[in-house]
Amino acid sequence: MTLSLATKCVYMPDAVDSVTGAVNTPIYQTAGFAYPNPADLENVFKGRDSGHVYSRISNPTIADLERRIAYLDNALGAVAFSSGLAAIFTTIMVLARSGQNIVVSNALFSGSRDLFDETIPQLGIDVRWVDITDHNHIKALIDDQTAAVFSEIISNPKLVIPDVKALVDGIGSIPLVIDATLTGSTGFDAVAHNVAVVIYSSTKLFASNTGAIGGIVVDTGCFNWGQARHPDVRSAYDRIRGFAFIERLRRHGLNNGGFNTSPMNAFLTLVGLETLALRYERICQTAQTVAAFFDKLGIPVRYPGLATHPQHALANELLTGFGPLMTIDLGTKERAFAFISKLKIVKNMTNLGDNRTMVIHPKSTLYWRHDTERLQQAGVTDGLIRMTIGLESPDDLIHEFKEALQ
Amino acid sequence: MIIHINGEKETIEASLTVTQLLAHKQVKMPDMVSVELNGDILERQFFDTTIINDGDAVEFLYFMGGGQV
Repeated sequence: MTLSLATKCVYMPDAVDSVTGAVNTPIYQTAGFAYPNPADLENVFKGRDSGHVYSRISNPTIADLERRIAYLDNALGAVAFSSGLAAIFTTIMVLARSGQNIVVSNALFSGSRDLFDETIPQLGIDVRWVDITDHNHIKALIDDQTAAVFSEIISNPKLVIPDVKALVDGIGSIPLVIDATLTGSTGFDAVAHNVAVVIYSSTKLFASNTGAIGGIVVDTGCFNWGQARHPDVRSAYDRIRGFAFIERLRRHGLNNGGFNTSPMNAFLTLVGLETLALRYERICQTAQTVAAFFDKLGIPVRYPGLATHPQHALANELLTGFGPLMTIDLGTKERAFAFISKLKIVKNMTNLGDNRTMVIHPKSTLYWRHDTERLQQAGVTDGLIRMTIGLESPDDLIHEFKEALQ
Repeated sequence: MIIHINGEKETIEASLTVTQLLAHKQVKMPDMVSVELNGDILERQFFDTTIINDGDAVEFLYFMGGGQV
């Protein structure tokens, strides 16, 4: 029997500790692991036996988080990182090398945009920006050195949605990497859509309580890594077949890079995961109600759940629920600031997918360094407010927004 | 029957699949192990259906600990 995602959030085979019966994963707050027999430690180091040697590389609490995410996603495996950006950085570093290129959606979260603008090119990787809905342009940019295509599943804050099926069909043997932070495992089924790699900022919908920064890379198992453009991944494929990408992520990102998360953050994320499906359902319902409220008032609001969203039909087809994020445009920075200043329940801060509803004025904060072209690509205007809906009562939120608009 | 696991001679029951062998050996993270059977990497989708035969050489390759496999 195939279990629903809601059940899988609280149940996983063999998740209960066989020695103590503990149902929660213990926090193994240790840097290293002792082996009285030197031959045993040698075997673990050489990959001839399972085990943990140092928490930069692996740790039982973190391994449980990785296993839980892979289970939720019906995926081959997952690797946890210190942040979503560390997860993206390592993924690109593993997939592409100097002299190669990647095709990247130009509508991205500002932190990801900065990573691809400023840091990835320093590796000698050519970043080719594209409107991810323009399939002809994508096709024109791809060549025999294109190592990956990258997009967010719902872009932040422009809320652009890629046609994943057309993308996968169009790019053929190039891995599609999707940042699904805004849907989590609940809102988008990456395996069903043949996406090669999924990345989550686990800080958001997974941990959800502004308490644990983290990132996850998931290998869906849909991609044949023997076709990877990076020879390092192909070489790993020759040695271990399907696990090539995961093994390279661990080697470069954790063993060599040290981008590991902490056992405590992994534990907090595991706690959050138990209520993921329930929270996501509630958040999407409230977001739809709030978006409809602004729409009815004639305030420009962008939300994939509204029929006015240019990709509403695609969102309906691709997603389950439309996520926590929306934007409203009050026309000027002054009006946006005045609105934000009146909010009490809703917090003015950066983060999203949280239990709390939050707003931010992107142009003066997340995008303050970005030039006009980048602002246009991200959909950021003077009066734009980004809003991420949480778990509060929709009535209380709408009451607060009504007052703030006066 | 007798097989070799990671170079060590072991006696196991006949007709075990690779998945059953992983359970028999109490592999702690069976979803994080690659299996080499008689020198060839076995694709994961064949773990449930591949039977271990007398004299087979099986290598478990883990990549949790820090080694480069």
